[in-house]
Amino acid sequence: MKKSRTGTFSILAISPDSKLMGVAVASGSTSVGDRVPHMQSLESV
Amino acid sequence: MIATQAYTNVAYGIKGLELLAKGLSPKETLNRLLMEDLGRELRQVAIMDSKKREAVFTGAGVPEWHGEAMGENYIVIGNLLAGKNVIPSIAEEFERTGGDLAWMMIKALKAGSESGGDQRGEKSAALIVVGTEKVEVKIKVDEHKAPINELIRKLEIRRR
Repeated sequence: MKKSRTGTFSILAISPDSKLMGVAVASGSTSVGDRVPHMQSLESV
Repeated sequence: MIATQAYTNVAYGIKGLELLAKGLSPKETLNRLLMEDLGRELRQVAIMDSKKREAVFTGAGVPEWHGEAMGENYIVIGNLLAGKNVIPSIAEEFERTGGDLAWMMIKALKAGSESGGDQRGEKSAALIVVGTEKVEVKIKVDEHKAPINELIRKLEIRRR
């Protein structure tokens, strides 16, 4: 667990044809990409 | 896919993906994760699957401003934001803007920053897009004065 004194905002989205999906995130702390987004390939969901 | 933030518990991502792979819906997955977490009121979590099923949670202890927005094809979550406009700005930009998914998402993120973003400004950002066969885009900016602009620059380099 990481203490949060900085904010984070994220968008999760999927294309209308469901062939692409993604996460975009920004944060006041460093290296947000290592903590917040968790993805698997579309096939396994 | 899962975003786990606020007082981030990374287990929500790791265990959550396992539960989705077992066939649980996003709502079932979220409920299971929350049930097992004594710190749940500090978490902010969004989950969406390839069937566009959505689940979102913001605990009572997550710092203001925080918010959520959901549409047919997206979820936006945020906490410790500069104001209440940030979340709707992201959602509106995503709905308004065109182009491919990566570009739409990054534009939405930038709109969030321009409407205040993090209370103390952003330092890092990331973009991951997956397709049916591979990871289409994976860009991280770990420490930068303008991380979203840097994300855009890196995305554009990939497309040259």
